Amino acid sequence: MIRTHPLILPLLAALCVLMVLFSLGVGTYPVSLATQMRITAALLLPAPLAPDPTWTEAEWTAVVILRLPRVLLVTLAGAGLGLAGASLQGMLRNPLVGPDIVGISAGSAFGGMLAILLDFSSTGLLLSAFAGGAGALFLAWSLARLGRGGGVLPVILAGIIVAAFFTALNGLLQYVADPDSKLPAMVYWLIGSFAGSSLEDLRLAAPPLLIAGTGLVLLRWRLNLLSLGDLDAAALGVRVGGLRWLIVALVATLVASQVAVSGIVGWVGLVVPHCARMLVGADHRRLLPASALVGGVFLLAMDNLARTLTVQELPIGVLTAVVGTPVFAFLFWRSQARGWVLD
Amino acid sequence: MALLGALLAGVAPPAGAGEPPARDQRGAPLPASLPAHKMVTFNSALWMLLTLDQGTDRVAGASASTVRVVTTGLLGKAFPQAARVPDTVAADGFFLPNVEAILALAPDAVLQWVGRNDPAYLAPLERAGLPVVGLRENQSDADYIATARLLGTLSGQPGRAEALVERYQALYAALARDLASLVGERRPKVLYLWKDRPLIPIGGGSFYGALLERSGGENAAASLSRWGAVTMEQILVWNPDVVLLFCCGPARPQALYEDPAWRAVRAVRERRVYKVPMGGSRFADLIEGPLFSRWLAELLHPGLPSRLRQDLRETYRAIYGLTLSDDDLDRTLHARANALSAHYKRFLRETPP
Repeated sequence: MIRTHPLILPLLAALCVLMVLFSLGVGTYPVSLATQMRITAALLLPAPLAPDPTWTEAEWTAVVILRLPRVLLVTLAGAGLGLAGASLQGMLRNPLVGPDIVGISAGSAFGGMLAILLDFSSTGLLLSAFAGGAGALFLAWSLARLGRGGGVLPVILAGIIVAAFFTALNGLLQYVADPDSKLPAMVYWLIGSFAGSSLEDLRLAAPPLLIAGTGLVLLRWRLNLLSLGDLDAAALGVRVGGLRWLIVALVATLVASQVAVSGIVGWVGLVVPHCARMLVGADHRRLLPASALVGGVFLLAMDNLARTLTVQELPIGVLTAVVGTPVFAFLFWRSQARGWVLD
Repeated sequence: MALLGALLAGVAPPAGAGEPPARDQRGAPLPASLPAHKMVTFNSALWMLLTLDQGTDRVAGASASTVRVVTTGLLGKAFPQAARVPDTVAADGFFLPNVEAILALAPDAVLQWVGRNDPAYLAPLERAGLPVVGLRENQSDADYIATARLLGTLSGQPGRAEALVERYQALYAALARDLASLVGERRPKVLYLWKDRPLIPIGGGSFYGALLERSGGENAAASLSRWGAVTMEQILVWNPDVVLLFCCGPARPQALYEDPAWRAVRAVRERRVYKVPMGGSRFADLIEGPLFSRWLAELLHPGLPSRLRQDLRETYRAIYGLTLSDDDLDRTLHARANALSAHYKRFLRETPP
């Protein structure tokens, strides 16, 4: 068991808040720190806006209309992916699983792309992405149950099969999409970006992200029991089957909500729980909140880079993959030296 | 056909046009037996072939994406038979050749892009022994003119090609004179959005970017050297005077006027967002390039005399023998989508339908 400082979680929470405030000041449009602080204060304080504000309409637009919904959405999405990854790894007792591996991301992407192809509304896109993610997970789970003897390996293999199937369907949707009106949106959405984030996206995605995230945090005790193994968990009074389905549904909700507003953002759900585990250990009572906070901070950092490194915005999914793969390789190397810390 | 014949009767290649091209645009010799009677094309050369030949008789096959531009625009009215041209592309839907289908057509020229993924697009055709003619992507005025002359040679219509080149040059010369008369007027900053979700503008060094300059504007995104998406904040930094939306995507000016994120942009405040007309070839080739420039110049400099509607009607009557109705013109000019934008009344019919 790793001994951790009791202040780590409060410090992570403070870092996350600071990162949100910092991110509000980051962008292509120049807004001075003083102006940004005045705008932020005007948003936070209940006093009515001054009739003659000291900022320009463009500065207000940059901070309030463009950055604020995006920063909040990125924070929630990062937290959701961190939580989803930590929960899946705990439930399946395998540090190599993440939402990408078990097919949820590909399934959600299929639902979202289908919605773009069929001109669904934003709400329709969210629901379609959710249905795709849940459907993929259901298929993976059903396929895994065909495996003899149970265990984790069939779940991972089934996830890989289902992900490959949905990836093929995604290719088919791109093939039939109109190259002028649909294909660019699909492709850009598929590689992941928060570029089009709006208040409407935040209104759509925040409730399911918050509800499912809170649900998983409330289940952190039971996840500790599940990570002991099915037999031990059942012996301690846990209804293993029902609990797994509940966790699966909550994870699918988190991932689908994130995919619906920003496309596939890979590696976060896989790498962030490992980083969090290094800070607070494997006890899910601390690991889940830590994964959420590290996920929020990590994704905010990646998004800040995506929108400021060059004049043309980089897709965040590409950045998380570029950063995530070496981090994961390092963790793999470290695990080979010490063994994965699971308990 | 008769009208074009009358228009171009007696046209011989003028002095200065030089010898007809003997090589394609990668330097390879043209097929031995010309003119070609059965051609396959994957690119926008289709539109010029139809214009030169006034029909589809020589077009044995084409990519579905270029045929779709014809059938959904004004060229579809002139050449309804284009809808029956066989599709000759494989999986990617654009330029990847379906070699077996092309071999079955036994063409005497296959027109394909060069420099754009040659190993996938060009090499399979050459391996199959097909008579490939390489075309460079049109990046400049000189490219458009060279391509028109090459297609004139291939289709046995060098005189017609030369007449169209001369017409093109004359129209731009007239526009340049009109613009030169606007003493002291500044060039408005124009942002041409090729896609609106994500925001992908036309950057510098491109043919379309040069068109904006040629039409009396300044490309707001000239600093971009490559194709890619930008942030909305970058557009706030550029703060363009005018925003153009690609002719054939789903974007509408109204959506930008209603979007709070665009409210601080000068073009939106002054209601100067326009959807580019569709025309027959997306308002962009040797025939419609001057029309695009006239359209834009009149919007950027409302002091110019208004004659776009008349020019458009005359162009289609003279070159395609087509009489465009008011409804045709309204559809082409996106009259409904652009009706609420500033200065657009000049392009609308005097008596609303």
